[in-house]
Amino acid sequence: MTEEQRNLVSILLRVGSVLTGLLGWHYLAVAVIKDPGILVSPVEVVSKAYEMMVTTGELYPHLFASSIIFFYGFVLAVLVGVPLGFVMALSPLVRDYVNPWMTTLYTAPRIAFAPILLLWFGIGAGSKVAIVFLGCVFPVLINSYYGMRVVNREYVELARSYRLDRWALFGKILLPASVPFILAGVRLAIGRGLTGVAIAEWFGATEGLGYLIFFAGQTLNVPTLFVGVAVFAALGIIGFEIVRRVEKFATPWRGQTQGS
Amino acid sequence: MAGPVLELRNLNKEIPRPGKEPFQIFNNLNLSVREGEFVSIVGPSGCGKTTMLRVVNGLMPHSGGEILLDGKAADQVSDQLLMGFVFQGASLLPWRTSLKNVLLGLEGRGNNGQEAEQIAKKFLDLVGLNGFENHYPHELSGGMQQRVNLARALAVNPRILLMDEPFAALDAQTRSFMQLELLRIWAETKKTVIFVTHMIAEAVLLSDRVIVFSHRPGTIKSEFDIPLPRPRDMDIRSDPQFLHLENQIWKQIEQEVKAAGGFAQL
Amino acid sequence: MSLLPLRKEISRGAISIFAGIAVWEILARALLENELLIPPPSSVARTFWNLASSGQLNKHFAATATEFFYGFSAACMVGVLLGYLMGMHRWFDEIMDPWMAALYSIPVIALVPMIIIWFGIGIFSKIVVVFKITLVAIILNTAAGIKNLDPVWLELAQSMRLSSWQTTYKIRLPGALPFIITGMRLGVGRALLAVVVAELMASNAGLGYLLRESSETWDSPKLFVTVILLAVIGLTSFNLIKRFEQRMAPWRQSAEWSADS
Repeated sequence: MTEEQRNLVSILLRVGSVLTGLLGWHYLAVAVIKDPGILVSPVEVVSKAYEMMVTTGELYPHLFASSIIFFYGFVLAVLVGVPLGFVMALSPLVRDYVNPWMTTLYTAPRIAFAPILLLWFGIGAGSKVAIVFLGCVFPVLINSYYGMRVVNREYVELARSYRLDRWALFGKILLPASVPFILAGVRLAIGRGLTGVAIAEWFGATEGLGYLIFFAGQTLNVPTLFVGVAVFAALGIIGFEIVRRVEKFATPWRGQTQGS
Repeated sequence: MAGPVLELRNLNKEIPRPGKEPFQIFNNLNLSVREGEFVSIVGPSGCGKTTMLRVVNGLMPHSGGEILLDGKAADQVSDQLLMGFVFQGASLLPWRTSLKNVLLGLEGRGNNGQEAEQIAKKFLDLVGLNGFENHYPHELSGGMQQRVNLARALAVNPRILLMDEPFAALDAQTRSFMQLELLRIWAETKKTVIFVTHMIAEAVLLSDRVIVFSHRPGTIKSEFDIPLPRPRDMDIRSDPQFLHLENQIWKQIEQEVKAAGGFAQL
Repeated sequence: MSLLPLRKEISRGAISIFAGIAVWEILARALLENELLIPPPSSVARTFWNLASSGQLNKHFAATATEFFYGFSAACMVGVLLGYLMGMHRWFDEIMDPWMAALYSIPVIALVPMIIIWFGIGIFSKIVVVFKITLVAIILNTAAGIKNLDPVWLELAQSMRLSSWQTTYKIRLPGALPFIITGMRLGVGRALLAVVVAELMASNAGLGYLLRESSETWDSPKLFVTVILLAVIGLTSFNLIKRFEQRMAPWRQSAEWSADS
């Protein structure tokens, strides 16, 4: 088989798999379950999506509300996570004192903190941003820390042998070498931030994609539920793709970036 | 005298390329190796010596010609393990201890239990790793890893030992020690060895016969008998005859490299 | 290797934790005088004792642990099998790939309402949640492990004339094991989050239920007990799996932190 044939087969298999799956879903919904409170055909999901996006446009306020929360939490996480990661990497003292708290916060299921944050920040935007922040900050922090720690010793020695000063060592060697790690952390943070948005909006929100999904779930509005889930998935994919592009642009010296 | 252990007749290997002429790796190889002989193969990089070893071991199919083992076509005897392969990197399985790594080939032939373990221990002893049976590869030095690699290939009692630049990754000193060790082990086991290397001195030191491969497509360019007395040690490297042979082989390779476009092409 | 730096690290960590708790106690008592916002550690400890001795804590913990156990073990078995097949057969990989990508990119939380609609508010829906999350992580990692095997190992197997069955269980599976365990580790963290979310949304037992109950009744000490308990469970499972990783794959130096979870 030539390369082109092989690619064609690959595309056919993928498309076939998706089509078969959708057909099976349709059949299951229309002929087997027959209960729109449990499962609806993909056709209905698509028409609902069309309605929400084009006819009524009711999706957009939710999308907007979620985006704002995500944006603030995410940016805050990067602004705090990267410098803190660097400081921890460069100072064992800070690392040792911060480490136990960080590991605890990091390994605990994040949702556990949501009620506490709600208690402290109220049900306004503050608590939601805090929840997103808590989700995003650790991957960024840990990767920044790690990136700076694993910089090849040889590079550092190279810098010493050329008598680069501290700042030059940081700016010319350590920082660029840890960029790929930081970006990998940012990529992970996107997924976790989206989860954070969903969690945040489940607690006492009146708009947002998370609210949309949970309200639809409670009222057994299955088409809207599916649309909400699909929008979340799409946001995850788009965010991931954006970071991948940034990675390619920011670190042209690396070949293929690897998934995690 | 008995017939050759291994015989290659007009052996070819080519890789088909879509829309183009197939890519010739080696061509028209004729070689016969006697029982207990130590044969080295040298040649410029990319001349197909490693590929030849893989083809002989059945890791790759050939494109024409014959491989005869004890006078029988190799494809007919391939179910029995007649060859031991010593890979370039140690290629030890990192999740197995030295002993278990050596056991692998025996397990492959359904040989488990006490008896297999005795055999594996015997060969670890032979390569000088007594006491390291339960070490994992990452706990061993590069030279020790290659010893395990060698023990693993020997443990299956192969008819022929195929060695693909086994010492390439070692530092010069360790390499010299390993060469002497290999000479000792070879003398003790009396195995037939085909040894691929790019170091001429190594080939001369170890071998009864050195084969020079031409540049791609690889063919046998010339053969040198090494009549140096055995047992050999490192002093032999300053022997005039040794130096003469080394020099002659070097000239052959140099010609090939020039024919291929010079050193910069390597 | 000297133990001194390690000891220093531990003593600093201990100082940091004790100091933190002391500050918290003083802050809560002296400044805030308000149990609702930040209950002092002493009151949290008392509540913990009460909950534990009444058997309440035990009941909720057992519920969550059961859900987790069934979902996780089922996912390990199915995940390794499917991941192995994906790693071995390109056509199967291509058929599964779009679905895996979809499942992977949907935030766990978003799926929970759907799963509750389909599987009810009982234990079964939580098992499904844990199963789904762990499954995706294990499938993807197993497949990656099988695809990334060192080709020399496979050549070695061929040279040793191992049968295909022997090659699978002597070479491929152990070779992919570090990846499989990474999948499990990622699965543990995410599944723990998801099972709590699912319990929070709809359930009548489990730590997530306790979380909801205490936050709805503004019972801050109880809320803090639950949160701390969850943090301890997270930390313990994280460390256990790290230890497991070192035991199963001692040749692999595992990173100080896993940067990917």
